[in-house]
Amino acid sequence: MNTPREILLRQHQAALPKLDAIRAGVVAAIVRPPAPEPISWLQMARSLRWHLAAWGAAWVVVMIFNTDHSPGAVAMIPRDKIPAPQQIWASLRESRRLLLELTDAPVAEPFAAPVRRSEIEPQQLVV
Amino acid sequence: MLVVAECEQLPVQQAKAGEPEAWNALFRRYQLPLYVYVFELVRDEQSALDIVQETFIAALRHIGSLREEAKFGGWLFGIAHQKCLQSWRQQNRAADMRDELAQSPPDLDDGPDQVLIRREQEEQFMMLLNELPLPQRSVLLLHFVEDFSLEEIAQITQTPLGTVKSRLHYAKRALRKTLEDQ
Repeated sequence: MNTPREILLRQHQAALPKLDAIRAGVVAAIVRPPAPEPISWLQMARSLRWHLAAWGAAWVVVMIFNTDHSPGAVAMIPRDKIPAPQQIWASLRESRRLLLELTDAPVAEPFAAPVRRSEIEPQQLVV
Repeated sequence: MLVVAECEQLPVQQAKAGEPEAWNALFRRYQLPLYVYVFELVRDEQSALDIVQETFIAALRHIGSLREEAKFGGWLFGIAHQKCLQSWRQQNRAADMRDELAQSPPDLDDGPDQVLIRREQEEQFMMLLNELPLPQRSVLLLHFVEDFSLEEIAQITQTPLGTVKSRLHYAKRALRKTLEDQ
């Protein structure tokens, strides 16, 4: 007694050599995907040499354009925009006072900025 | 050796990765059952061999569309089935495929699932198989050759499950009647 499957497979067993040939032909046409090779740092740097060169060139251009060729950067600021030293001192004193108020520290006497010797009037000088 | 392992581990994942050895193992596993199925439908050796080859090539190209690796066999037979349909259409034999049977089977009690055939009945079995309408023959072959479930056969043949049940019922009933008459 045989199962239908056994009968069917036996009936067609003669086709096996032809099927083997077909299978071999189809499998032979498969292109095996290349195995990934370990890449060394040197190989990686070599493969990126053009990218690195381009980045370097780009940075050189940026540096050239950013370099200030004018006689002096300070000269670019108009003289009338520069605050007077008294204004700067007053601003600093105000900032200090606000800071002390915020930290609840005792507010000291306003700091008296020393007067520049050149600004002292001649009559004040004691001889 | 004709015995085909039932629950073997198939290297489908390796085949998806493009390993030739995996494809070789898969094709070796299915080449004969596939050929039996195709030959019994097209009844021509050269056409059957051509369809098997085309099926293998299509499987290689479209393996990415296979979602469940466990269903590789059904997927492969599905490709072969479609190739058979194309072959029939080319030979203007599509009318055979329209031989539809009743959609709802009156009685699906087919008795024991295992059909055993004596040596002297084998010739009658093969003759009956050839006399069956193509849709019934297709379902019966898938059931016998690879023991596909009804759901798998429905997917392979792209036929409603009820139709598959009906076809298998009538095919098995005809087979039993033939074997009992001997």
